[in-house]
Amino acid sequence: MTFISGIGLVTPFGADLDQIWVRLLAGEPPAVEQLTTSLSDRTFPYLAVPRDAIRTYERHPRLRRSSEISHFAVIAGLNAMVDAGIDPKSPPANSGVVFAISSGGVRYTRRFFDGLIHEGSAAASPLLFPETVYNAPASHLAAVLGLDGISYTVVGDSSVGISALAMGVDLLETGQLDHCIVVGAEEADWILCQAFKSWRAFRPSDRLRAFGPARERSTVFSEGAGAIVLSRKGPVEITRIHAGLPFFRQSEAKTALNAVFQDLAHGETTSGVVASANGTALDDVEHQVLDAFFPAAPVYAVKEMLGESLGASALQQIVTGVLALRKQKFPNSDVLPESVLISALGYNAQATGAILASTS
Amino acid sequence: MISPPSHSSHKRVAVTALGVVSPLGVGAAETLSSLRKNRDCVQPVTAFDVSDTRSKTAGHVPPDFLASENRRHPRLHPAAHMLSTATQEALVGFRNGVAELFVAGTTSGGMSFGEQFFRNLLARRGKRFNARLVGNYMPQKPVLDALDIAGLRIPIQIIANACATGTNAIGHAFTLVRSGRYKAVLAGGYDALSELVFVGFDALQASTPEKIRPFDATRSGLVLGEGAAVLALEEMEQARNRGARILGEVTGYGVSTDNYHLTQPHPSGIGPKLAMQRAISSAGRQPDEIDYVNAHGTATHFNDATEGAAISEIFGDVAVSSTKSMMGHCLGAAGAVEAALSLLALQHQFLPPNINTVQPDPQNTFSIVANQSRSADLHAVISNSFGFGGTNAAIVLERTINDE
Repeated sequence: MTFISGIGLVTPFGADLDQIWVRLLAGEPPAVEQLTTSLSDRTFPYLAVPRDAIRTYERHPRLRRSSEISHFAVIAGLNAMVDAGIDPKSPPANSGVVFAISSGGVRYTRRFFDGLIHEGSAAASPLLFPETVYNAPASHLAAVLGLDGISYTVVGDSSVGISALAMGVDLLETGQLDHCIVVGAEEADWILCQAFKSWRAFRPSDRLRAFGPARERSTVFSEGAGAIVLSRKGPVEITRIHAGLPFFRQSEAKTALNAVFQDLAHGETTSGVVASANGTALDDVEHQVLDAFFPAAPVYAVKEMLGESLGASALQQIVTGVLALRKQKFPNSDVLPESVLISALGYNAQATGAILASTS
Repeated sequence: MISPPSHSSHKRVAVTALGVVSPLGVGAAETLSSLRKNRDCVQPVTAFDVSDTRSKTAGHVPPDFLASENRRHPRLHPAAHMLSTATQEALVGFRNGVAELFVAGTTSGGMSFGEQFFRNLLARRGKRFNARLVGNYMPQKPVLDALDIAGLRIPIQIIANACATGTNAIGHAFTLVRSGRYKAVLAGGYDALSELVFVGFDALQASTPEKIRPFDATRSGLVLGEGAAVLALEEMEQARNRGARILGEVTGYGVSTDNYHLTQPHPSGIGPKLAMQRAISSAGRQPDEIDYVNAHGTATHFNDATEGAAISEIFGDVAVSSTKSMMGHCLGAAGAVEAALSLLALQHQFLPPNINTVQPDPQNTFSIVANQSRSADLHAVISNSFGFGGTNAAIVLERTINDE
């Protein structure tokens, strides 16, 4: 059995768990900011992490040149360790990291390639390039913690946080680790917003409106991190987890999510669902399948508050679920939660999910 | 003859199929032929402008292969073509096997499509084309494409641990089968050449304008490559019961994280040393039972100095080669391709060569397989991969005699 012993968040509401919870319950999303581009007058709305929330490690030798994604990850990861009662300066032996990411260090990647195009390859920056590698944030986190064992970065769509959780569970249950920090992090950049707009998968807006009629749905990108510590004991147990099923076109998403929920629902109940709905056409699929398997459970679309943070989002859903179990309150509902389903339907790769239950 | 490893609580992990696409060729047969013939498969780069870079060469998968795959699946990224072809070859060998999970590794996914998208934005062109570029740029897309083409609907886990990732993928899959959590897992790695990555290594002055000469006193840096490889890892008893062909066995896996620097290993070689020691221990072996090291061997000053010191310290004298000398550094595919080459070496009982050797580095105590492949009595080999972020991984592969 694997348990969640600590949690951490970095969100557009800041990094203080209690304050974030109050803001989630209040139901008023954070104010949007605008990403600008030198290519045109176009701007892209997004939900930014307040810079005051990520100043702690700005002078750390490993982080002073790194992009903000690494700061998000380190702060969420270390907060989760403290929350688990672990001193981050002396983490237990046999601890490791699993890191979930979708786009990674996209700001440095865009800056590096922009420099290459405009100034030529001879002027390409050797300082920027290493930070473009997907596992750079995980490396910084391991370095800050002084961990010398397993550190895996896992890539995927917005369901990747559950893949990372599944990998972390595998690492504990095969005896390779005793503690695993599972982190998901993402940073926003105009190129990311432009790319998803070009892909026509999202309808960009200043507010994420999930579920509901198609004409009313819209998406806003955000940034931040979510982190949990997996241990052999803790206040929240992962009672079921699905390794995920791929879908290759949207028409197959329902079949995939059906199969996932069929497995997860086997002998399990849930007091509430933290959904991955993000204001796209896939919301319909998630709604239909949830309705079929868990018709009585209240459904909370946390991305309406935190935005679509891609690689960070499923970890943020998990932390929201743990907070609900801890606080004995499910947002927008009178239910006293004993177990929570985390539903994750990614934008182009996998359907997956997990069930968390309070051990107290 | 050494006896099979014994871990009473562990399942034995057979390799029951492999598929490989690399600059050495398409498929195991072509690859084996290139290895035996000591082919230098590094060529001038033509896909993008290299007039201002130090390095101007790379290992390319055969262009006619890519052209042919592009005609069959014109929307997909070259990395998807490579991974899909390697997966198909592995599945043919896997025959009636049932994989439950695909663990893959990459460093850059469909990066060149991202580059093209950015160029299109700057030039304000290609609006309709851009959706396709974005959809196929994402790092997970080649895995989805490979599964879709193969008709497989199984969970995926994609590790992106820089240049160690192919070995991490196989190693993680190995631990899942060995522990009994899964019966059969596909594992591999993929990466295609991209301008951003090529220029990045050049900017770090890690790449060379000369031939790649791993572990040589005259070495001057790495050459990049591309490719994909997929292995089918399966619980031994199940594999035997269904009459699968056993190509070899994965017996050990070790990882370490070196926090010294984002791109440079600790000068002591502690990162590679720990990964190799942990892999050997995981296999239940002693260093003197390892017959051959397929080294990471990038031919950079830092890598070869630290890896060379670690191999020398652990093994003293052992046969070593870096097959990157023949095809370049295939990044996210490297660990998987090199595991496939190590299996071919075990199956066919020969040592793959370390070509372009001029003067082996006198700091090292081991024996470089200089320039020529040669026959050898191989029972156990270790394959190393190390990467940015201080990620280090090693796996032990062993020959399996059918009645063992």
